Amino acid sequence: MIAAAKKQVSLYEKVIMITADYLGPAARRFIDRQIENHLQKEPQQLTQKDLAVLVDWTKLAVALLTEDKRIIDELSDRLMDLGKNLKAGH
Amino acid sequence: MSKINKYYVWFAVLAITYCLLILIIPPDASVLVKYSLSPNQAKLLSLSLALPIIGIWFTAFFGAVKFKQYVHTINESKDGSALATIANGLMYLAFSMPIGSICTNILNYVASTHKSLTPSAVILNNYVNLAIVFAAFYLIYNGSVNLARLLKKNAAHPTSERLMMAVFVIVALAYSFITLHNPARQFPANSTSRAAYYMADFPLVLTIIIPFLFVWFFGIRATYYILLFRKKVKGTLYKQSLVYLALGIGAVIISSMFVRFLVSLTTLLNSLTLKVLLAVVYVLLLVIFTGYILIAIGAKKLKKIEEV
Repeated sequence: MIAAAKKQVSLYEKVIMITADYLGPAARRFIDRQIENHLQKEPQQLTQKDLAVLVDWTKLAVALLTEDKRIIDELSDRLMDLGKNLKAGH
Repeated sequence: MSKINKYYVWFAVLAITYCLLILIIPPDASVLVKYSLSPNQAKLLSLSLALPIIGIWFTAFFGAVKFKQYVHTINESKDGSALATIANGLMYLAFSMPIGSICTNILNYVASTHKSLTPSAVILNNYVNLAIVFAAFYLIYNGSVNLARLLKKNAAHPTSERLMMAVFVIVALAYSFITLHNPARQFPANSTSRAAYYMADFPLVLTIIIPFLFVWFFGIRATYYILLFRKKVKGTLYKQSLVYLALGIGAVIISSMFVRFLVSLTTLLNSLTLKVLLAVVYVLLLVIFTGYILIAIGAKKLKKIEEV
């Protein structure tokens, strides 16, 4: 009952939480920019269908910030896993 | 004209003013005698010192401008607001260097032509420098406190807090002791031609020492909070870029504090040979130069995160 009453964390917020591990306070601004510029929608309207495209653009953008392939792959893998978890009903 | 260009215009005005003052104002006669220089030799020496000094001022303005350009892109966010306050403080510090040098040159001129006005000129010079440095350090401290508030509660380690306070107490005691034991603090003494403050001890403590203790307090705590933010903030890539900014701000704060200490060591400095004196000055300026370069590099890296 308590678990059901807990506020569901949106996909958008989950994406922010993961990205924050790499971009800190700049994470929300970064993700908002990717969604608005490349998906042409409001950030809060992010859906599971948008995730793959978002991850591709995020990977490209992060590659401009670092040459560490491990970080780039880790971030994109974690974001892609969000889609898998949603499909599995987690 | 954009706001950024206005900073560079101000820099140019101040740099040209400084060079003109060097050429116009006759050198201090006692300095010519002490170091066996002719007036033209003294002016040439001053100009040769002025060029790298102006280069360092430009670096300070450049670093502060780059930082302001970065925070302008994030000024609506909480971290942006805090960093903007720090950026304003760093710009005040950048201005304090040429303004301080110009005031000192004017003071030297007044002292050489109107000896009766020397005490007033020295007191005014000290207060002008204090006001700018106080405002700069207060802004940097205020911004760093807001930055630290973005961290989780209990981010600060009690041991680090105690160490920071210990550093402040040592610095405060050292500064107070050096200032109050400077034999040339109220009247010229030994080989100095000019006193450092021209004030009795009570007004000196009240209007110079105590405000400067606040400056050291602001500076040490600001350095601590900025380095704490850099250590505790989330974000692997963000932290890699922030380290330049944090170290640069720390270097600028600490070197600015050392400059003020040198003022308190008037008698000691005056007994050093010219070469040692120049070496001390150049080392300090090099630290300030390095600090602002690090700030510019850090700001550029952080700005890139906001652009991709």
